[in-house]
Amino acid sequence: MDLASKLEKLSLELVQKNDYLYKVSVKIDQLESLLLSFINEFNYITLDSINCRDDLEDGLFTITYCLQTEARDHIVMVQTSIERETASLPTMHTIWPQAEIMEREMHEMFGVDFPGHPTLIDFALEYWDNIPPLRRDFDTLEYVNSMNPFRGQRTDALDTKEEMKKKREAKKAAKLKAEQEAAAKAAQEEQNNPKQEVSGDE
Amino acid sequence: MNDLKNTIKIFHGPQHPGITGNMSVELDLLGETIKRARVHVGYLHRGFEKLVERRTVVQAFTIVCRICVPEPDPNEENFARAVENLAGLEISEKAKYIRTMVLEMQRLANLFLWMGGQAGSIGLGLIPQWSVCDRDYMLDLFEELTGGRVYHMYAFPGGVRRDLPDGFLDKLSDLLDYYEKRIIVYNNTFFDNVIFKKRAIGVGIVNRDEVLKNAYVGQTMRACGIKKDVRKDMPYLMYDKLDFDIPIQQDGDVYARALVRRDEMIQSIRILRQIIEQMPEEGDILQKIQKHRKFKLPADDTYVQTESARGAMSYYMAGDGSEKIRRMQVRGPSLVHAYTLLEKLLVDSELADVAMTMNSLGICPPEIER
Repeated sequence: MDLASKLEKLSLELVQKNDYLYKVSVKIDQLESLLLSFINEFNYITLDSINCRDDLEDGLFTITYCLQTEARDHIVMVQTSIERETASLPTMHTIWPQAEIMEREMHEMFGVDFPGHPTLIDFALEYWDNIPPLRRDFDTLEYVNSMNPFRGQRTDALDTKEEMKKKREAKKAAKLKAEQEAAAKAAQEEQNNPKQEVSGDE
Repeated sequence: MNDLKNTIKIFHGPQHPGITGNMSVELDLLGETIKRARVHVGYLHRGFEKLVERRTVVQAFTIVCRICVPEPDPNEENFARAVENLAGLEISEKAKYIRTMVLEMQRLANLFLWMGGQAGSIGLGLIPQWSVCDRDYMLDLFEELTGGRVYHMYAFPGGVRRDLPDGFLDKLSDLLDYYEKRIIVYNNTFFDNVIFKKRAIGVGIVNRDEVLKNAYVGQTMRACGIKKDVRKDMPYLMYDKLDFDIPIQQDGDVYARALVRRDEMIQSIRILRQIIEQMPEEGDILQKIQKHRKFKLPADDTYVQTESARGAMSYYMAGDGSEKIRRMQVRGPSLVHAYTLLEKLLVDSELADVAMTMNSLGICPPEIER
């Protein structure tokens, strides 16, 4: 029996996305049995990756298992959706050893639970107690600002704006004073040496 | 666990020349023999997959090349092809040829760098000096073509960003002539080196039966006699028009992986020679796309795969109808090779073989953390 007709019997549709890529969407309760039949009946022995997408607006995580046969000439994406708030998936590490690290990463980055998984410990983060960082409601900017506040200044530090204002005022006052002194000096000189009025042609 | 009773624990990395980046291998040693190995990452988490969510497609394009430092171009190719798949963009034959050429140039540059690391990991100090220098000649060409030596930002959704400079293909041809001569020298000094053979033969043997099931890729797979390569199995760009072989070996050890890489260098040169001959003179290099604030991806998803110099590298990408990417997930060879394979492969091997084994698996820690 070929894959498309088998899936049709299960009321599932195999969609061809391009020459080498196919996709089938399943409900979560069908997922494990379908993955097993992909391995046992259709020889999709390789799990290339498990991908998780946060569809925050729908309150769902979309999970995609990418499978390949021994021939490695095409990829089938088996896709399912799970509730965001109670995100839990069956662990596949007993079938595919590489699923262990993929699921561990997904647990850390999205907060998806895998009951029965042996090593759901820290992956790239240490002692993380915030929202899992790849969830879309985790705001990177807000987190960075809260964790790394601007460094406080020294107690004897000067306010640059205030200092620049003072400097400008001092410069202005010095200029005014210089003008006044020059004017006073000119007036003094004029008083000491009054100008001779030059008479015109007489 | 009883085996761990009299062991001592050391951390191999992150500050260790034998580690191919910022990661650490926690080793439990009984004498010189490794009883348990645990991989730790998290020293370089830059969060590319998260950063992409906040940016438009065009802005995200500048980030992806940084995911793997020695090998940025397969990332660019995957990103560009995923966007093209989602947006329904067709690229010209000339752009396809140029992208294929860039990927093969990158493969050669990466394999020269690998050779330096692999030889350095067993104390052959001359080879890294030669091979890093030889890689630099390729970086000179990259600089002329793209403006950047290491990060290129060249393969853009819809084609490539610049046309070939005048006389570029002649320069590439001259460099290939030089590389052909150099590979003979490397063969005599490194691949046939008795020290390398004594150290590498029979070390780090990968079980052939596990390869396909556990998704080991690249030279790790081909050194076990499995003749699989994305360029042949799911051809992209112009690979179906080019004639090349997939080198394989049977032993599955460090030495077999090295020989596969050597033969792949020869095949890359062969591919590049064909590209130089077949490169179309005329043709658009870049399809015009909407400005970056208006360029939107449909609500759909795709999965693309490229054969990098270290094995198959895949991207999952999903759009949501907006100008931003809903999700981009990177799956390089390193994640599975470092955790599923390396942790197991190191058990009962010698401390001195850690760097050599890790290097032969093509593990790139920045790609694990993304």
